[in-house]
Amino acid sequence: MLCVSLLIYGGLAGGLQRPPHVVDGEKLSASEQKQLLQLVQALQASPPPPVSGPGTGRDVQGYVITIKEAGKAPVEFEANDLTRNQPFATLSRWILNHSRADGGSC
Amino acid sequence: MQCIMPPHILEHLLKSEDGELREIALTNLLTNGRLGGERKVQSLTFAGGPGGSMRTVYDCRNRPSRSLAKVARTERSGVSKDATVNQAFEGLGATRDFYKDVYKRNSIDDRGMRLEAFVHYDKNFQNAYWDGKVMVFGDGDGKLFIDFTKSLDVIAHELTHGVTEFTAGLEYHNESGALNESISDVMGSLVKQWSLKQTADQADWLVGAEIFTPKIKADALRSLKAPGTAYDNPILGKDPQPDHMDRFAKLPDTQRGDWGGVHINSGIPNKAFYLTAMAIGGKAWEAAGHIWYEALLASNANTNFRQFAQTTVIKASQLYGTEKRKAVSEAWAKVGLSVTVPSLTPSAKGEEKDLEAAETHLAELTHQIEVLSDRVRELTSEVEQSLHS
Repeated sequence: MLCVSLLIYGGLAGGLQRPPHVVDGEKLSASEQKQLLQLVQALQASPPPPVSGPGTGRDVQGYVITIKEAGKAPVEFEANDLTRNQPFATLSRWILNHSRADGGSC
Repeated sequence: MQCIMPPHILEHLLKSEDGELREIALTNLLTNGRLGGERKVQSLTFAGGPGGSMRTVYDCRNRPSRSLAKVARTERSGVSKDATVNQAFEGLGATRDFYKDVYKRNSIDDRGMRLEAFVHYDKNFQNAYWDGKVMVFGDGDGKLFIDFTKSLDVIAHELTHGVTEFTAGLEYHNESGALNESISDVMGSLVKQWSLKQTADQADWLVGAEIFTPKIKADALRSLKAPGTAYDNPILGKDPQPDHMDRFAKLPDTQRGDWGGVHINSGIPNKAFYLTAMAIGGKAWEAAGHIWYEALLASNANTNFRQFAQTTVIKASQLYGTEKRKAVSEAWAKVGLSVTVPSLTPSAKGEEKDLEAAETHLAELTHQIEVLSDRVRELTSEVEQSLHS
């Protein structure tokens, strides 16, 4: 069963702590679990490019999606406002829409 | 044989309401290599003509794409029904006018560069940023943040990143990056003070005071007056900014390390500016801001805190003389940076005394001239009265 989290950090509010948004797959309906799996697979197939430096962006926000599967080491994908690609952005939005308000954990 | 789109057509397409056509036109201009360097292209293609710096605000309609944004307001269109569009438009204008009126700077590049902002970017987007060419604003998530265009100092902060890029080019990491952030905070605050006609002691010296939701107990994103005190609550944590070199945060030069803490250590030069402005008094954008702006123009990509501090002391001396030089020097000393300027070292104390004596003599002469001028006016008035009687 999947557990995914999205951490948003930095940006104009650099220094601010923000709790991660967490989705526990065990608490999803069957169709939501299927959606989540498809989005995770899309991201794994097409990860965003690595962030090698600040580039021309100023105050861009950073994002970390962490995917945990039972029996496997967690996998992280990192991006920012300028580097996040469609699979990353789509999964980010899905996590925000389905996550617990208090952050939670799994 | 290569067919080349005539430039006048491409420039017309740049103003199209269709985002895709604008992208195609810009791509054509860049890849044709007609003009050397992306920055030059950007400056020329986005220029609104001599003294133009025309503004355009685009509405992303809560989509995570700028290429599909619609033009929402231009210099020729009327006021929008959308308050966010109007706030962005007015904020761009206030910042542009500040730089023009106060520092005689013609837009970001000093050549009338067009100013563009994209609002309603994505859904619940909790940020505002500068991508190197344009500004992007989110609406916030309604829990932590609200509309980022509500804060004039945020708009001016982002545009000032463009000014820095066209002047010193301070690299965005470690000390030069923290200076880059500080310059944006300082100028952001000055644009707000200028628009409100506030003196230094009337200003709140806060950045982003308007963008938190009411239920979040926080003053602002940052405080130039008291770095480290802008917020302290269980959700956001405590404002981590230092106000002294003793508390300089050594962070990794990575994205997660805020590129060496550019938003953290900016608190130190922020505080130095606040202390300078308060010591000088009056309107902070005049002497203090002028000194800082000239120091920015005299800096380069790798300027660190100490070098910038030295430059501000030198500029203060050159532009305003001993008194303000002392104010700047003492401000930096209070944040842990004692500045030694070569021409003012103990071995040159004789020169320093000569300079002070010359300045005093000049002040005396100026006063005498003013007294004599008043007397001449009185005598002239008496003569005129006697002629008419």
